[in-house]
Order: sequence, then C-alpha cells, then structure tokens
Amino acid sequence: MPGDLIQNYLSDLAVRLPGPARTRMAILAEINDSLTDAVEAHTAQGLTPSEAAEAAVTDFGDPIAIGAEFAPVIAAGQAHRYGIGFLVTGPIVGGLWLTTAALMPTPHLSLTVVIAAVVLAVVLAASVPCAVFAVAATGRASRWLVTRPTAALRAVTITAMGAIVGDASLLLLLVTQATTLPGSLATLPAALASTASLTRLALASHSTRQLVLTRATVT
Amino acid sequence: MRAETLKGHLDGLLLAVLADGPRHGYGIIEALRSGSGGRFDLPKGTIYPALHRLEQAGLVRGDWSNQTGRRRRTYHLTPAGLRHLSAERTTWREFSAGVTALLEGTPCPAT
Repeated sequence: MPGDLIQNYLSDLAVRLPGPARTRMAILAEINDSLTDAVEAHTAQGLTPSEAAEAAVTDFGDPIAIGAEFAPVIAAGQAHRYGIGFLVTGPIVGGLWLTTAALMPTPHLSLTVVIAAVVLAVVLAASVPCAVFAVAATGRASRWLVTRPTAALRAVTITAMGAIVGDASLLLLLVTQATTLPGSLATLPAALASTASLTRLALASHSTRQLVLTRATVT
Repeated sequence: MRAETLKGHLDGLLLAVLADGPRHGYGIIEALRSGSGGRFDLPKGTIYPALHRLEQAGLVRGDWSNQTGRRRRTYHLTPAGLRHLSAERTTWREFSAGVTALLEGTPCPAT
C-alpha cells in the first residue's frame, strides 16, 4: 500500500529524531506534507500510486542521514528553550529567596549560611554565562557565533545541573534554619520560595535527562 | 551534482529561492531543481534541517497554514535573511571569480 510506504518511512525517521515529542511531531507533519506533494507529482507524471510512493521516499533520502542532519538542529532549539527557561526562572526563584531572607524576623549568620552562599556564588558564576552562551549560540546570534552543535547543549546542561545544586542547597538551608532556629523564618515567603525551588528542581532534573538523551544523538 | 558539493552553499541557495516569494518545502525543492536546470537534485530531505537552522538564525520564518484542508508550512525570507542573502551574493561573486580564474587559467578581475 502506498500509504504504508510513507508511514513506514516516517516511523523509521521518527525513531531517529531526538528532542521533545511536540518538536518531532511538527517535523514529521511537515515531511509527511512534502512526501504527499512528491507522490502527487510522481502520479501526475504517470507512475502508479505504489511507484510514486516508492519514488517519493527514495528521493527524500536515507532516514538515518536525515535524522542525523536534524539532530543538531533539534538540539539547538532545545538548548535555546531551556536556556531561556533558566534565565527567566533564575531571577524569580532568586528574588523569592532574597525576599525570604530579607523578611527574617531574626537574621542569623551561621556557618551553614556562609557555605550555602559560597555554593550559590559558584553556581551562579558557572550557570548564568553558560545559559547566556547557549541562548546566544542557538538563536539569532548563530549567524555570527559559529560553534559546535554540542557546545550549547553542554553549556545548558551545566546550567541545569547548577540549578539542581543551587535549589537543593537553598532547600537544605531552609530545612536547617527551620529546625535549628524555629520561628526565624516568615512562613509565606519561605513557603513560596521553597515551592519555586522544588518546582525548578523537578524541571531541571527532567531537562538534564532530556539534554543527555539528545546529546547522545548528536555527532 | 553531489549533495556534498552543494553543502556549503545550501543556505545561500535556499535564501535565494525564497527571495522570489514564500514557498512550502516541496516548492523550495522544485525551485532549486528547476532553477539550476536540474543540476541541483539533492536528496529532498536535506533541505528541511537547513530550513529549520535558518529559521533558528532568524533568516527565514516558517508559518503553518491550513488553506487546502492540509496542514502546510510555508517559509518566507525575513529582512535579516534578505540582508544575509545580499552578503552571500557578494561573497559568492568574489569566490567564484577567484576559482574561475585559477581553474580556467584566466586573469582574475580586480576587486
């Protein structure tokens, strides 16, 4: 069946495309449209539907090669989106924690606080430049900023791991503060900040897994 | 012509094809083939990753439409794409003049 040939080709290509399902579905829809055009053109030239479908998938190229060419493009899009996500959520999460610290009824500078501050400074120093680079290298600046496709992926993975370490440190600090100095925290800001960090911790963990999976497909 | 030969020029060719107006993927493939007198008959699939890369760079824009009862993605050149195409044309003229002079053994016109 001609339709089966096209569907088999798309299925073959689908397993070779990395990235989020929505991105892959959009690419496959576009290619399906192109193959349909090709089948119509071949049929108009006198081929049978089966011959036309066969010619369309042959002309389109080896799904392994097409998948390999798409992988760095999808990876760049993924690095761009995740990079923007971290750059947008960073100030929000940071702002909530700063508010929590500012509203502490009895500020207390302990060794734990100092260690957490050092960890956060290191995390910020590594994560922010990496996120900025990932966004720049995969967006409009990619016209001038030529980098290896894996560089942006690696950079945004560092940012994601930094977010995990940063959020985990802040949550640990909160628990330590709440247990050693009960009543030292304003409840609402602390609840909001910890919810934001827990949410980002989950998203950053998910992002890291996705980025590692995508990285494996980019040569 | 082998796809490998065209690899470094594909972005410029795609921009040039879109300079004539918006096209969907298959239209771009056909324009490349007919515009080159059948010389550039690439594996059709290779243009899609290139189009998506150009879109990420802001040089083309792809929009989905559903005018004929079928979802189609149409690409058009952005103002930045038009400027980039102009720069590509200049670079190509200089490059081709140099290569032609060397391969044909003719004097290279001064730039």
